[in-house]
Amino acid sequence: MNKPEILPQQRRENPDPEEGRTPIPWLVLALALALAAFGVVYISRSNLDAPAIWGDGRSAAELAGDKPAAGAKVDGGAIFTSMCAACHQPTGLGLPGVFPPLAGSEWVLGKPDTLAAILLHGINGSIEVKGTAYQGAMPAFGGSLGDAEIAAVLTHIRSTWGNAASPIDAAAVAAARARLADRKQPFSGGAELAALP
Amino acid sequence: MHSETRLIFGGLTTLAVATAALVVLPYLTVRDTPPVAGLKPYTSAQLRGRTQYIQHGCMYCHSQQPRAQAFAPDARRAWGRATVAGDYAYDDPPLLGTMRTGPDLMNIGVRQPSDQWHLGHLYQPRAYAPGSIMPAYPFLFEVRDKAEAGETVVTLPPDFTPKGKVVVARPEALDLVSYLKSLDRSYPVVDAASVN
Amino acid sequence: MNTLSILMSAFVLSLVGLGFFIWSQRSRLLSRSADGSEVIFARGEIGHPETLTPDRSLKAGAGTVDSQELLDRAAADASTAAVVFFFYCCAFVWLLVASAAGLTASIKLHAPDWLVSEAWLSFGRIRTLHLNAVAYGWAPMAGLGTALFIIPRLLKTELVGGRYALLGGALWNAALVAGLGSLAYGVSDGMEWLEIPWQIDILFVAGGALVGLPLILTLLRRKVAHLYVSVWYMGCALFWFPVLFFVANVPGLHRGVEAATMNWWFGHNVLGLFYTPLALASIYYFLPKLIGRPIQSYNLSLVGFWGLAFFYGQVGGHHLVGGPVPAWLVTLSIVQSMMMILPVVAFTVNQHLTLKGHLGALRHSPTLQFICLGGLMYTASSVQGSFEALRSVNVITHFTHYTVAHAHLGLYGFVTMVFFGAIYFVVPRVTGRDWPWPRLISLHFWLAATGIAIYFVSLTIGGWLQGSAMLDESRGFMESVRITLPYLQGRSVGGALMVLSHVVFAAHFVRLLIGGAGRTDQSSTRLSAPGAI
Repeated sequence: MNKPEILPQQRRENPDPEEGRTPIPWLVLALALALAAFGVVYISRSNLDAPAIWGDGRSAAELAGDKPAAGAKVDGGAIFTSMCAACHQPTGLGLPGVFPPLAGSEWVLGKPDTLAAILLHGINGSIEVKGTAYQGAMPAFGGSLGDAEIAAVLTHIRSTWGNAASPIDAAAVAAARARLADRKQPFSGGAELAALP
Repeated sequence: MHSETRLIFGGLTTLAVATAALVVLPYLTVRDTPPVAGLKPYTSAQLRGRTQYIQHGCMYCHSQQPRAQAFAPDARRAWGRATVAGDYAYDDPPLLGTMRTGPDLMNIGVRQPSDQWHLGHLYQPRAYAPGSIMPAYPFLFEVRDKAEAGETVVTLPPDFTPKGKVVVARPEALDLVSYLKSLDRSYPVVDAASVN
Repeated sequence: MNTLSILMSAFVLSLVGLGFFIWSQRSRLLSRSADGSEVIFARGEIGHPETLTPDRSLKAGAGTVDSQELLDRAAADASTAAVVFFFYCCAFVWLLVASAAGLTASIKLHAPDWLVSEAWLSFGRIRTLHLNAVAYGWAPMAGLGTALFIIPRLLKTELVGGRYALLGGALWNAALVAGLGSLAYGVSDGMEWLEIPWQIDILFVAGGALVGLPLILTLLRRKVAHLYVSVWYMGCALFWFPVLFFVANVPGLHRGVEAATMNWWFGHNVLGLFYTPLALASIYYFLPKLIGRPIQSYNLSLVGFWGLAFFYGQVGGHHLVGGPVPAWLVTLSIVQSMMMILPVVAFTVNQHLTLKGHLGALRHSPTLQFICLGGLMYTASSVQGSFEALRSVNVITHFTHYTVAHAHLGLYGFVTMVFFGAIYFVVPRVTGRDWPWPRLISLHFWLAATGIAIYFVSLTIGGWLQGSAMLDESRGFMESVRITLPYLQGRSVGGALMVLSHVVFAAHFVRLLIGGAGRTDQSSTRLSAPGAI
């Protein structure tokens, strides 16, 4: 082998490292045993009864759907926050020029049947609210919300932000749903809604 | 240690155990879970939108996996019931996500079915959600003098509308919104009657 | 087979395997005999701490016959110099690219309307560019470069087929350029850590194989009988990574939630079975080398190594706690995450025993400062990670910036710091040039250390507050966003310091390369005072 050129940097460093034979401290051994014991206890206490395809920690009850049981109290405010506030805003004032206000809206405070009809089937067309015309693009919620939920959220918006109109019950929504059962399209705007009986 | 064979053999053994547990067993037990009754396959527009979702990295800030009620209040935030393997049967790849810089989107189609809201929110999130830190995606839209027939014009609040112009959604934006609106896991997984 | 028995058998298998490998390779495992402190192989000359200051007394002895150890080392270095230099040059480039992208992404989180006109600059893409430039650029280039330097030295064997490693490195970087380009353009496979399209992954596989094979061949032709602990880590990492990368990227193989479990099996094992072993091997090499004292316990090294090998591979499921994946899998990963405390403590105790009484060396050696800080952060981030896996902690920290802070403590505080130290040591030996301005090393160290400290503390607090807010359904979601804003800004400050430190680092490197006098001991590199660093 040719004698390699040795750089000063190589010459000034320590030899390559080696290993000593210091035994494993007993504390490390004790830690190992403690961790193994933890593992056995953690595994044997874990809840693994549900089918693997359900995932981590699911119960049958929650997978049966989140439709509230009959007679249970439905929180209209919570529904508003999750499904309505993005457009109509938590203040109920809407967004100028885009999404109409609910606070003081003649539609919200007006006929319960018409209001229920708007939620059930949505609007796609021009609608005037508090003197301003909006290009309405209200989605239909008849598919995703049950009668009790629609009633709760309508009651909520009729009694918040200074609104003070009568509550709406689930039976009224059910009636509106039945009356409009043939409808497949959203309402074409304020004119069509105003013409509802 | 003197034997490189034992070293490498040992190293590969450990990896084999890990792979068996985290890849092979899931492959055998959950990979081919059939879709839950109620889950619809994506339409081609929704699939194109899903590609947009991946392209723009939505999954780095939005999860698609509400957790169990006993564990976290995801359901009470209206993000929907906890998801199961069968909810992802058409998801290739699944977009579970690891961050909630923004809210969970597994059921965004249920709680936010408005096209106009989604389009405007993509164009400028802060026009609709004050304080949002979601990026704006102006390159999914075109700002023009007037829209052509058949184009979707985005209605924005006056402060956010370019003066004298209209904002038109490009096909990518429409596809993305169509995907977002398809995110709906509100159907039940197990028969309610069988629970009790 | 029911789930409990799957779970117990995986756990027990790991424990038994760990016990078997430690027992079969032990050397006076628990009892201290009369010669308990001797080293396994004969000691060489008395060591000296590595400093930037050329040691005059050593030079005086240069006329004497060079030891065989020194000749072997010089021969090993000569065989690797070119390829290590190439890998390090690439590492510098990717470090700058990755940190610039990272800082951009960080600022965007509190200035969401900044740079939004181009799709490739949007958060979702620039963040992905950052991750991939670190994951497949900086970390492997610095890590593999260091491995290419260390392994031939420890085996006292010249690198076999260095030109293939060079070609492999070139292929790898070409693949990364193509990969980052496609991500910027919007072509992505859609899974975290696995975004680069699988077609490009084929290039990575070819390049990686060309880098790994010379090292494996060198291992087979080695001239020493005993394998030093650094070789264990690096040798296994060279086998682990290809398996991970190949299994994860086979198109069409993974589907549904199984793809998610595979995703985190890969994601965590890239950290645990690739970067971590490369960085730990570097610590095991440089720490005793720099203080001139053997690693004190071969037996603890065994526990640290086999513990990591058996437990780390199975922890990936803790990224899916509460998710739609089998509960037994999540539970297994949580338990194995906690078991990781064992190898981490074994490593920590071993380094502590080695360093004990020699802390003074820290003042003279910038390399040692980076290495020691990195070692401490390994302990800190690993123990943090173990507890973060527990359901009670995870329910708060999952989905928040807390995990981002943790990831950076590991990949920056630990891995990157160690590679910084390694580069400071190795570059003078492959170029024959000393670092021209030692004060810049000091500046780099303090900027980087302060930067990651601000980064980590900000995001840890911000993430915890964010997670707590999200768990309280009476607080609107927007509150969990608003509450993080000052901490996201703090993170950008820390990140800016880190980027600045990288610029200093890279500028210093460039100055070293274009500087006039090479291959000399410049007395100007002498530190003005020991406390200067």
